[in-house]
Amino acid sequence: MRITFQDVFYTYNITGPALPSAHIDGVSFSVDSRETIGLVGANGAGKTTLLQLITGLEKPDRGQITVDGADIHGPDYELSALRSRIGLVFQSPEFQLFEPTVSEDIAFGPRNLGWAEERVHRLVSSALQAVGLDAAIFAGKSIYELSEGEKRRVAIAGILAMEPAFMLFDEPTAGLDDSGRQHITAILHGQKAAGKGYIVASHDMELLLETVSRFIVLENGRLLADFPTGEFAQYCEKLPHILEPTRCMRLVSLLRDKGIPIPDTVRTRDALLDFLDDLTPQKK
Amino acid sequence: MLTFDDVTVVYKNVSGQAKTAIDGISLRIRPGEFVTIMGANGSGKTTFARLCNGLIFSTSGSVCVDDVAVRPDDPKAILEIRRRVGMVFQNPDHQFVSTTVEREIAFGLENLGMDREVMRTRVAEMLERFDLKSARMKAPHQLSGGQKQRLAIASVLVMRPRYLIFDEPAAVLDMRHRRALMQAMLDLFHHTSTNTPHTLINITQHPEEALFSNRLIILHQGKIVLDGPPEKLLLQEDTLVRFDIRPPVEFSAFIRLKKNKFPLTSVDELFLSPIL
Repeated sequence: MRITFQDVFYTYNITGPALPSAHIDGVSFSVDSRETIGLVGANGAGKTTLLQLITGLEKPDRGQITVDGADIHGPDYELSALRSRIGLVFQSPEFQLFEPTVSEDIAFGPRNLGWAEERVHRLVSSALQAVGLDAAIFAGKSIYELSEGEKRRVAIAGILAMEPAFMLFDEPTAGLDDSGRQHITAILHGQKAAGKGYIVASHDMELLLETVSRFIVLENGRLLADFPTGEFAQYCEKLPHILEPTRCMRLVSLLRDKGIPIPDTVRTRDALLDFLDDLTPQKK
Repeated sequence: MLTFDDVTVVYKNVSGQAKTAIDGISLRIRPGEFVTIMGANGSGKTTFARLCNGLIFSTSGSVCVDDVAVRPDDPKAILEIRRRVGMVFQNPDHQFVSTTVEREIAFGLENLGMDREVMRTRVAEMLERFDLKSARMKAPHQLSGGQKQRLAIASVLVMRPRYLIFDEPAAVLDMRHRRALMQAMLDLFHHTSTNTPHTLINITQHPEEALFSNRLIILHQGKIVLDGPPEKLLLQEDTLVRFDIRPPVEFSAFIRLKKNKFPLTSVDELFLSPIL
């Protein structure tokens, strides 16, 4: 599946003074549904709006959004079918859980698509597995018995159960503790291993550097840069007002200055700490 | 002084099961302290914050703000406590009630029936200090994320609370706004124009924010499991990991470099400024 934006404009339709940001101002790009992409930009740059445009939740004022060449707002296009192919996980999706039990909540989406009960049952189990929750323990649990991190994973499972070909995540790690964050990383790795792509909108650069192969940068609704993850450090120098090296990257360069030969492949915290663990002890 | 004496909070969830959110906590937070509170989701952080300003009450034990006890049966005391303890929430949208920025800042003072002239001066001071003058006639929902966060802080600070609690306000902020928020906290901490120093409590998932404060408290399953200077506690990696907290990468690296006899005397050598 290929999603293409051609010169897309979008403004909130409100009366009174225009919003200071979160509009989309002539954006063009194209992504394949097997790609893993990080969407970055300051608060209000238009990240959430862009995700909503991709699923057809918002309609552009001008320009075209196509999926495999077909205009998603064209007269014959079935937008509802698109929404089952592209899964959007909103920011804090746990607020949207409403069924009494975990399995009922996850089953809601696939049932809504009219799928057979047997298939729904199977999808609920595999979705729970994909988000790292043991079905034997969690399927029958009440939503109210879950921790914040578990609720978020159940909400993600509800989207996965619809078997989307492509996923969109809006700030998936915001407000989560460390283990919650690691579970989100694992979910993304799982999607990637299954050959399914995603766009992750986030301020969490550590997360993105671990899980995406391409970055798209927005500023005031405009597409400012689009580059492979390997060029992240260069773009931090080019766009210092938006991108900056992670704490880990800064530490790596400081340690190199101190004479520790850290290879270029070490980009993430875990990789750095593993490297330092194995560092040969220095002689006094 | 903020005093907790053997405080326990037990909730009943929808299915009627009892859950202990805070489990026999005793502590003292002295005027002028800057305390960071960390813990996994569900460790009791938000319940702790809400106890401090009477949004919820203890099931047993006592919470006191200076000389006033936080109790459900004393509405006058609760009003006084909410005046002394200001709270900035994770999502500022949830706390806005007015149609313009200016009215939002004035809201709490109006409720106290404050003299209009004094009120005008205090509101103007906040608009200036938090760089909101040009936005003063805008509706709160029209502001950018960073402006909303500043407005949320301004509307709490205008009440001149002695205690300020930040409940994960940085969770959805980008780096620039997180830095601005930490700077705002530091400014408050060092603000010496009033005789009573501010007492700050920052609840966060970002361990590096603890380095701005002078005391770190770790909650785990409703109990205080660690309480001490951040730069000491953050070196106890094995212990922290048990409570679902990873030290900042510089601390984890320092521990490994020391173990491998790399010549370092202090973790400070691994920090570049700014800290965040």
